[in-house]
Amino acid sequence: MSLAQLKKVEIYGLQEERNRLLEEIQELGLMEVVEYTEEAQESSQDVFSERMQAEYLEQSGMIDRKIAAVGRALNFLEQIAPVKPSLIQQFAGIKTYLSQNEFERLARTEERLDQVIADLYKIEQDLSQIQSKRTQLETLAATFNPWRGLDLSVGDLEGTANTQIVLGVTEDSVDKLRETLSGLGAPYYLEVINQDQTGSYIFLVILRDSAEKALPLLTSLKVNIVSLPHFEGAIEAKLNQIEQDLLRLSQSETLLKERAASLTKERPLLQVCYDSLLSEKQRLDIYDKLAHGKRCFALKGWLVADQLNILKERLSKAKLNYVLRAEDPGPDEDTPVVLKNNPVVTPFEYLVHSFSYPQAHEVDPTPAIAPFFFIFFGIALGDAGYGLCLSLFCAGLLVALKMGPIGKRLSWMFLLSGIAAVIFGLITGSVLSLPLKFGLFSPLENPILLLIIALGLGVVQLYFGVIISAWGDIKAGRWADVIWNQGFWLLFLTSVILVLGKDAFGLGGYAKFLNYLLLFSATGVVLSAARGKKGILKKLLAIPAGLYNIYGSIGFFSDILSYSRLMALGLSGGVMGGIMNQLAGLIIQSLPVIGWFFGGLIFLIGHGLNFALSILGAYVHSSRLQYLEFFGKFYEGGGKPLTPFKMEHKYTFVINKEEA
Amino acid sequence: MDQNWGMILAYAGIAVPVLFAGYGSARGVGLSGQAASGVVTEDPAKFGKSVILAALPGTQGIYGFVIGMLMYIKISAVTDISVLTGLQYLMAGLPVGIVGWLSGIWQGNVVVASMGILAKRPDESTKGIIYAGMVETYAILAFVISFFLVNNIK
Repeated sequence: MSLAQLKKVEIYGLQEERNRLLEEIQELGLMEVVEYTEEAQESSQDVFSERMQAEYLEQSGMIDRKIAAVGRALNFLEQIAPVKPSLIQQFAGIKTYLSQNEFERLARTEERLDQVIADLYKIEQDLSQIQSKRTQLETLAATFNPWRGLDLSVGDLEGTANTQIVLGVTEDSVDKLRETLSGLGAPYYLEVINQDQTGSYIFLVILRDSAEKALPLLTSLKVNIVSLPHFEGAIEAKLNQIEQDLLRLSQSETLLKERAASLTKERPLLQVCYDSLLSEKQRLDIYDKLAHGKRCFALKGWLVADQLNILKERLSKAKLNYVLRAEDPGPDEDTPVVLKNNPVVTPFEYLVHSFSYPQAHEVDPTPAIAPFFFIFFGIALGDAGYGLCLSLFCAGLLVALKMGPIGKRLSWMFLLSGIAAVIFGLITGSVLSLPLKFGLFSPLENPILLLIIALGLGVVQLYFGVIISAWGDIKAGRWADVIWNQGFWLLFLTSVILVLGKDAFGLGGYAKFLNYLLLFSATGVVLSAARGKKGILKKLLAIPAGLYNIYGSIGFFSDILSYSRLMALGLSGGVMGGIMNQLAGLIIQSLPVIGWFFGGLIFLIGHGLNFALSILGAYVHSSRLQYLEFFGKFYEGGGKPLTPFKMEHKYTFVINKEEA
Repeated sequence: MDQNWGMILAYAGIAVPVLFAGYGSARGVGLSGQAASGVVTEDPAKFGKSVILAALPGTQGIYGFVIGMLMYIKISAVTDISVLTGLQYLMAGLPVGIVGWLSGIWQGNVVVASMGILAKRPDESTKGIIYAGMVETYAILAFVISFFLVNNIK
């Protein structure tokens, strides 16, 4: 039940070795670097000359540009050859797994990186050029296509000395057009070249003399006069040429895409470089947090006390000149926190992680919630078969995937919780809801017993929570405080339970004694509000507030009732599974031979669904009982976890030497 | 006739939890599914997490179904049901039916809001799950009562 002991560490180093020293600390990834106080910052401002400032800005600009270039290349590769994440990867994230050596080897091949980026950039440019050319050609083809039947070349369309050629599109009927043109009294020739949903495409020859009269007439008849873009030869030939051009374009596009796809093998290189550039940027940005002198600089941060020697060793091994000063944090200092538990309980740190870290002066709730979550999950899932499946699945994940610390904790937590379900399933004789007769009791036949177990566990956990809230006083030996604040309260709650349930507990004979006990403890609870108040009047005025404390017991009992969810989840999962079994059995009985197939299918799908929903429910509600009911009694949270200055790994995952 | 009325009431007793709780869950899952689709449009990698959230309002329908199924098993075992017993079935179905109906919809609303957490601060999405789980409490309490009521019918 403890947080790791932290040390406040100050390291002094030489300016010329600054980058190397920061790199060592970053690669170690154990220490959180914090900002210096304002005074120190200000005095270093004088030293942190304009020249250094400019240098810093230039470097950081350069890194930003490089990151953008690599990021762009990666995005382009993602477009060309996307990586499809499996369902598990959607949770764990897609990472490229590498050993430390590989990572370092790739990070050093800068020329190769520039080459790959340039290649990809070129391909991207070419592709977008092809795209714009294609759009151009396609519009052109769309313009010419309706006129495909026109077998005249561009020269012919200019007409002769006396005749003029007009191309147009009309939505109206062509007959009406003919009629109107005939009304003019001048000779003309009209041919319909093509017809589609836009209208009729007409080819019209008129005399130049009558053009003056005919053209306005055409406009009034809603004929859109079309002038084709310049081209040589016949329209048919032009269209064929466009088609060939398009074909060539798509051929070269395929070629380019193939080349880009062949570059996907360089993805790890890009990813490694991206990550190491990100780390470099981090290292650069941390300059602001340091205190600078002309020749030396100082760095301040937090480190777990046990790891101090690792840091010292690492720095000495790198032959750096440094001075290290470590001291214990002050009693009221707001330090970051690191959870430290024995290996069995550690997986359950995930629950604390997803709620809120404890503050520096609080206790780590992990060991307190671990056994309860374990039992609750077991009851809520309540089936040995499901538990076994869950444990095996998590074990498989742990073997097959290299996970970060959080993923590992989560998997281990579910592996252990699965075991809890196996144990509880064996106690209640439920394996895949099959009608087996063994175990101590059956929840379906005796649901009241299950309810009592659930509520009883609730009482135990809530009492435990109240006791933990007194932990600080107990450790300090302030027994009077413990008795007044928590002792009477617990006694009061206990006597309420005993008075209400005296018949069930077989304590009917002690009714009188229990009533007195209730009265005594209630008085104690009321009077406890008056403690610490000076003067009779103030003490008396505190009494109403004490009565309000009694009212608090309602909240306490509603918290206990909340534990009935464990029974409900266990039962509904069990009944649901039983229904699936019945359905499957029904089909197997009623259909010969193929019934086995369909029945098996229903068995698998039904139990699969029930399995998924039961696990979701068991997880959500078991953790909710910790967060709301249990933590409500003693835990505040809101602490800041130690966030070490470390290498960034957005795309890559470096496998430890011992794991590889 | 008397016997028939008992049967009819008992059947209504099965219909109520399955119908109403199922409706609540369908609404809730429908709401959350729409929000989930929005989140996945922006970032397909969040599919897995969004499924967990979107599935939460689905439990009410299951509670209702379980109660209905328990009633059915009981009813099919007897041939004669009095009006009084039939009424008992109907009453037993009401808690999980009505609470499941309303809590399913409200849980769906909470999940829709939690999708915002998933979209903007994916690391904190567990907290959204807890908020949605809080709504479920009342469906669970109703389920427990309905369960005992059904269990008590002779």
